[in-house]
Amino acid sequence: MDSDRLADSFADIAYRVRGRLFGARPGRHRSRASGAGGAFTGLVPLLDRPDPRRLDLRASARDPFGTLWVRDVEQSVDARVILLVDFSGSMGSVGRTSRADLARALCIGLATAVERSGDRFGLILAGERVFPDSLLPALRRRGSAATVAALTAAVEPQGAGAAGLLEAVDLLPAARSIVLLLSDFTFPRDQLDLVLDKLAIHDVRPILLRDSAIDAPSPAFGLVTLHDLETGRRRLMLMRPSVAERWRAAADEQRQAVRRTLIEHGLAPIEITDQIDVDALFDALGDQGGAA
Amino acid sequence: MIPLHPALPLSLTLDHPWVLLLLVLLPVPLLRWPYRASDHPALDQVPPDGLSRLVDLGLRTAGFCAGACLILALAGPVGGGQTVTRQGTGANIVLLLDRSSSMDNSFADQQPDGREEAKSATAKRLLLDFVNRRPRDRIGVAAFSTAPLRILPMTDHRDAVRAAISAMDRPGLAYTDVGRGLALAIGLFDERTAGESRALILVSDGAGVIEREVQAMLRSAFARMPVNLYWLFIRSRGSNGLQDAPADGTADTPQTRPERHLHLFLQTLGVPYRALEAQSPQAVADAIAEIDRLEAKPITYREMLPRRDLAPLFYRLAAVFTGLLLLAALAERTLVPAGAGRLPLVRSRWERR
Repeated sequence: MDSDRLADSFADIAYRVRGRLFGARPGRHRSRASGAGGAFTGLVPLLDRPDPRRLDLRASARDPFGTLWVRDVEQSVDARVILLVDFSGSMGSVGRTSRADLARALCIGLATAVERSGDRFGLILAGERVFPDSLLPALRRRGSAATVAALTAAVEPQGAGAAGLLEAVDLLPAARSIVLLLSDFTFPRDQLDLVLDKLAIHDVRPILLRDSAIDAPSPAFGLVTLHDLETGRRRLMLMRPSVAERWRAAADEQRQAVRRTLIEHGLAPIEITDQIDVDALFDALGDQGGAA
Repeated sequence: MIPLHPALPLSLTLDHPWVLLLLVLLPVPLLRWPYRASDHPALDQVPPDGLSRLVDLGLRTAGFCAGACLILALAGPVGGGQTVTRQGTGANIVLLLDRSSSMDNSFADQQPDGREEAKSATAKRLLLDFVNRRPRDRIGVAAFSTAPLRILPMTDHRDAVRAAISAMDRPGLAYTDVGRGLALAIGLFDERTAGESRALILVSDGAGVIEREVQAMLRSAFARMPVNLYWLFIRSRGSNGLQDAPADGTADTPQTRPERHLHLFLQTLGVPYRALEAQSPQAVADAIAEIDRLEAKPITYREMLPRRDLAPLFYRLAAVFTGLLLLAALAERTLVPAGAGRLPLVRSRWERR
């Protein structure tokens, strides 16, 4: 699928930030500042906010003490959406689909969605270290899809662990942003804890990539030589139904462990198994926004 | 030379030991796994499996052993082949056979006719028995007729000895040059046999004149190499015995009574000497049994272990191990079944489950 069609299929995705942002540019997200054009929040005396354009005549007339009331509305602002992509070796695995291609497609699609929403899109790819040539600062820009496609195509997953993610967190804006954390979360739990702690001020949306062929392998009898993409270790498995069953259970347990860690940080992962289902992704992002 | 087992006399020698240089390749199957690997994001999350580890270990070992067996087979392994020195009871024996044509006659000095066998045939049969009874002897064979014939040097090879004896009933030659035959026979003993029993057995039915210079040569040869000398005199009926003095009126010269004078000469050699006269097959057998009894002393003999080509054994072993590897190759599969194609990255809206 070429990047234009991919971008189009993501175009309708909408999301809302959890909590409120600071910001000056008008956009679609709630902010802490009061201003013009947002949701009604209440009435304030004219003396507190000397803006006679918003004078609420009905409320002022009803007031027995003759106080003049002004309608207060929330300023709606744009958001910074940073896509933080784990591009360590494990992301290079290929099952029913290529995990790296899946991540690339998500980058392109989400960049388009963010652009359509009028928000600022930033991209950080991190393997063992942050890929310095693939950084995209959070700016409002046109034609993100092609840029992101070129940037992500230029790197291949490499390196072990989540050190690059920790490094990437330091590159994020200091102000609250939406951080889409795209990973397979195969790195150790304590590293995940560390990353999530450092991301605490942001609105974090973990996106967990899974592959059914790897998490629940075919139970057909045979010798399978496994090669670890991060450590390079090799292991021979005599695949048979009992092993496949234990394997599936272990993968399930691992997934639950990630989920538990995320829940401890007040987060819930958006799981993408094998393929991107755009509507489901839409729902998931919307649900999370609504839950805030 | 590596003994395979202390209890086995079998040992391993290599025809081309330099091939063993290839053994440096042996760790390769332990370190490198030749089969196609499937990428996995995090192996720690795959549960350990004891049976898989056993299979892995077994296949690596099979690879190692297959390589080792092939290299050993290429190096040309041979078991046995070397000689061992042993102690036994026996003697160093030289058989000096008379090949003169008179040996082809029967004891009655006639052409053998089916009822009576030739003297040579009798001697052959009984000597073969003698050789078969004494497996530890080292035996050399010489013959004489018009000229001495060196047939077989001192050897342990029983088959060669039997073949040499079996050839003695072939039609003989004309004359009887016993003196030079004896000189040749005494020369067959070698210095190694010092301290062991040595016997020279002259098998003949007659004798000839020994020239004076040959007599001197024999005297010095027997002085240098003391042997037990036996003369198995196969006597035709009616011929003169060794002991009988000639009747009056007959000249007692070597020319007329060569047997008697040879007997006298042999007695003067200064070595233990026995003459065994035999006028019938039974008498020959008795005489041989007598020699058999006398010549039984400790002897050091060398035995050659049969050479056995061990390469087929190693090739067979290598085939077994390679078969195991082949089974593994046949059972090989990838984590994601090869037939399962890739899914499109984005699921279309009409396919939603």
